[in-house]
Amino acid sequence: MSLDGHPHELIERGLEGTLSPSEEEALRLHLKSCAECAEEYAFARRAREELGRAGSVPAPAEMAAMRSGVEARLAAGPALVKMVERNVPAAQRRFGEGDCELLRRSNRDVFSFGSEPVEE
Amino acid sequence: MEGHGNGRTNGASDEELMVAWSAGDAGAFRELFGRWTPRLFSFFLAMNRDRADAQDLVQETWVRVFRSREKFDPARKFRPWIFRIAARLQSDLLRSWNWRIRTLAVSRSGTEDAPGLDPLDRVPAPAVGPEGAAEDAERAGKLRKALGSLREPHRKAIVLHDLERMTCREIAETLDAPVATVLSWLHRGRMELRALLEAEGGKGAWT
Repeated sequence: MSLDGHPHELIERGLEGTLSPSEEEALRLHLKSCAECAEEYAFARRAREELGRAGSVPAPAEMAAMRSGVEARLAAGPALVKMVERNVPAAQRRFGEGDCELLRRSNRDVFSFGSEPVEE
Repeated sequence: MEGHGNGRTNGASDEELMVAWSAGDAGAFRELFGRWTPRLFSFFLAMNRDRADAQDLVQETWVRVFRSREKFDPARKFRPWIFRIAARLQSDLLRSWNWRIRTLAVSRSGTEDAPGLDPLDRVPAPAVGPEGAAEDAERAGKLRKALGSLREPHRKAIVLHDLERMTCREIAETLDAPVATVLSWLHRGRMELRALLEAEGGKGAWT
């Protein structure tokens, strides 16, 4: 039971289908006596169903384009960083010095393959 | 990348494939890519409602996965790890100037869609049978649109829970947040979502 008196964890796990039989019974009893939770649960189930259906997958051509994009970037490595740096003066004329400093910083972060790993 | 598939990638776990890719096995990358890209794409599409953005973000995720390969612990699950990278990218990249410059360049070169056209309209409706197909597509469209106006942590939690079908604990691990916070994001996000949808479709339309 959470601070506001409604069993949010039970509700979420009920949606996930990870409740034990006794927890399921506890949820069922709560929903019978709490209109607020019963409404939330009904809405959550409906939205979950819809969202699952709304999930759009990439087309085969999009898959192929993404894969070759990744492979090209991994193969390019540090050469790509240089290429992007060379493009910065053009961007500078277009967007101004302040924005370009941010662009340089961002490119160093995004394109600096082989440098410090970013993930734990 | 170097190396070629060793022909034994099909039955391998995601964790084994990640280790093999780190060691230079390009076939392992392709297998992982095939398994996870549709899910990453769905995540980014639900978050941003734009196919081109989703494609860019998926590619960037894989590049970051590769850069972080040495930090991957094969004793831990691959899913929270890759989605953690994707979720951080979602927060980082949309704020970054690299992203803004690209968006500005597109809008200034005049190739952007007509003003006022919701990117949602470029997302194809999900495949459904002929009966009630239009209604289903309309409802799904409204839901995606409402989702798009939620605050980012709420949206992320709902998309990971209801679309990617993670448990609250997995979401907590992925987003590096306490389970109680995830529960609160889900609850508050749904309340907002419901209010938005009911404002449009009338009370009770979604329950």
